[in-house]
Amino acid sequence: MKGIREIRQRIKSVKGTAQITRAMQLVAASKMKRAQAAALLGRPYALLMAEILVSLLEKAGDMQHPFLQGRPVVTRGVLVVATDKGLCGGLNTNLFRHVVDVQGPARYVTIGRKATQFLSRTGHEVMAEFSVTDHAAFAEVRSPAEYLIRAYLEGKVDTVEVLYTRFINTLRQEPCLQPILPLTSLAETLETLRHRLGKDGAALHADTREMAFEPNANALLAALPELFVKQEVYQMVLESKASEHSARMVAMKSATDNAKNLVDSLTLEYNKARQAGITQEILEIAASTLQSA
Amino acid sequence: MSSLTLEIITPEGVAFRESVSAVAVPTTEGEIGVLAHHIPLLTLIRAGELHVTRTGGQKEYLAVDRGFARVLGNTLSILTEAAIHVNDIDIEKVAEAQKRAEAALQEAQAHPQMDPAEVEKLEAIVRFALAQRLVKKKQY
Repeated sequence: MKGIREIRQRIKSVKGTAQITRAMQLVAASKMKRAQAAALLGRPYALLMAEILVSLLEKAGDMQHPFLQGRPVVTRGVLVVATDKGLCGGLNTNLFRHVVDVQGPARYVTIGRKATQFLSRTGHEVMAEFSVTDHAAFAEVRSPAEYLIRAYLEGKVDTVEVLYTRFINTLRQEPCLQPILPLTSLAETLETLRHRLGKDGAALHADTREMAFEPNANALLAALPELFVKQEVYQMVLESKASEHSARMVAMKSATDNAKNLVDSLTLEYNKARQAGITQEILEIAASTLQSA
Repeated sequence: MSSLTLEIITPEGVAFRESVSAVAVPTTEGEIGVLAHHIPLLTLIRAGELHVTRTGGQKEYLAVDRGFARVLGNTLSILTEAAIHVNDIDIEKVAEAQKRAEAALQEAQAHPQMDPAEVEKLEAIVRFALAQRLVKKKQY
């Protein structure tokens, strides 16, 4: 059995750790609430944006736009959305496992320091690195999105895909890879989005009549696709943020609980040791009285 | 009387989703009226006043920012940056926000190195503020 003093020191240090993890849990919990609300409320918007784009592309027939032309894929472009800080359970590890699944040569753009660290350590090519604050604003996501669009148009990458953590609920988050550009398989994209973002958005409307465009289809085509890409990237960043704070909250809660259990068992050990010490002393006193008598 | 579904969706969530009898939408080409069974339509909308006639006949006014409107399958979906019901507009707050944004814009013109995204955001505030004031003024 360890000495009383060591146990006492150990208890003190575990209590200190518990205090820190508890503070982090509370911070994460309050951030989590806002991040989750932002992610959930943004879903219908992202979905309707996708639907409007699908309506435009389906009904307008032949259109010329660089986003619509698929080309043979030589280099894939992947945006990895991870966190800046650790201590959020297996969130980043699970996400990075999917990086290994990316087939063929790829170039990466990252949001979050952890992603940059991982990719450069594993020898992947990182083109650019961005960061967003905890309550991501649309303007912050604009620059990574514009960077990706430019890289796509210049031919540095032949696809634009986003690897992010989808928020399901506080206890569950799921990494997924969402292709965005080119917009050749938009109907499929919409299907996955509808599945992932829930059916809370616009209901599905079947309508086979001709569609009218005002002022004309080209004016719409000039504005929509780029906005769509930015909006989808933004929504994915919101989802990642909601996942991050949820995962951190849960991780810190279990760390606090573990620390409490540890303090309990250490206290028990401490009391036993103390009792053993007292018994030992009494025995010694009794023995010495017997001897002197 | 037949009705159509109007849904107004902003980044802050679903602002409006109800069955109504008519809607007047401010598009870039001018105001259009949408009734039930309108042909499929996709159009750009500008910041302005959205005028809703409920199935009971009472009218409601909303201020919307620019965005897109789509009519498909008897549903009018409006995708816009911001939307607010006329009763929720606080005219003093709006005027204040507009003044602040305009001042910031003036400053931005003096410093051309300012982030264009930031400028755009300020412009959006001014644009939506003007739309809100317009709608509110019409009420009186």
